Amino acid sequence: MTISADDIFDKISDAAEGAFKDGWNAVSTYAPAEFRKMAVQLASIVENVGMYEVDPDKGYSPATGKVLFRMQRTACESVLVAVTQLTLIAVQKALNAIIKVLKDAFGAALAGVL
Amino acid sequence: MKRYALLFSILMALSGCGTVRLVSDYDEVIDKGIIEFAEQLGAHVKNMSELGGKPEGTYDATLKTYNGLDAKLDVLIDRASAASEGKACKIEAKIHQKIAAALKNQIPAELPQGADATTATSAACNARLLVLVKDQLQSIRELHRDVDKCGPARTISCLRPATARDAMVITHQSINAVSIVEMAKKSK
Repeated sequence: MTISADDIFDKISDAAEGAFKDGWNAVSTYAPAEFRKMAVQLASIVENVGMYEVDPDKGYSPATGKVLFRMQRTACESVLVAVTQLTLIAVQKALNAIIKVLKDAFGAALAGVL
Repeated sequence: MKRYALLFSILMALSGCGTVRLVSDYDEVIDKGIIEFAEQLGAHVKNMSELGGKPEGTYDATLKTYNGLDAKLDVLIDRASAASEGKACKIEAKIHQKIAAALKNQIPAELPQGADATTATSAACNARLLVLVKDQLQSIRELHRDVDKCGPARTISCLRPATARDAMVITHQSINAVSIVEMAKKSK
């Protein structure tokens, strides 16, 4: 069997694109949605502290707002760590898809190395 | 010629293992455990917001529930930490720089950067995600015990409805981060 670099390159490109795209879609959907939630939440903290200052029976105190702001910072770290993990999962998927497609397509010829 | 040499080296690199593992395996105990925790915490905080100002809604009256939730998280953190083999969760360098800039270089020390990702560092990131959920639980405790006050003289510890609502939305982001990573691992 004759193997050309172009054949292998095409197989690798197709496999990587398909597998990485799925994983990357998860990252690119998740991260903006979570950042949007953060923006809405920070606005809510400002609004509730403002309500409390007008009427202490409504909203919550500035001290509560401060703790909630710290919690939002923690949530931000959670999202960023998750994004890193999701990216690694996408890379792993792509690498394994490449290995599989090479094995399937050129298994016999590459038996010595794969 | 260079192209063939590069191709050969890629094949040689890939041939070292049957499949590549950069992240730890899906863990059903963590996946189900965090869902149970979310349900229990959500119910507790909702109850507290409705009982604000009443004796049943004080921090002291619900201390045991907090301890139970804390213990549940500790079990999950221990499980994820055991798989990390003492390694630290490492964030990809570019993302780390962006976080550092956003937080004005007050980035948590537990979050070092590095490109040497292994399944152990990935497990450490799982543990870190769970520790962040525990931090959120501690903050809700703090709000309930020390910060929010109800009653005519505002002397009774409570969770005000607006506090409870916002605290849960934020905490769900940290809980969701654990769940989404486990779900992605499950389908990998």
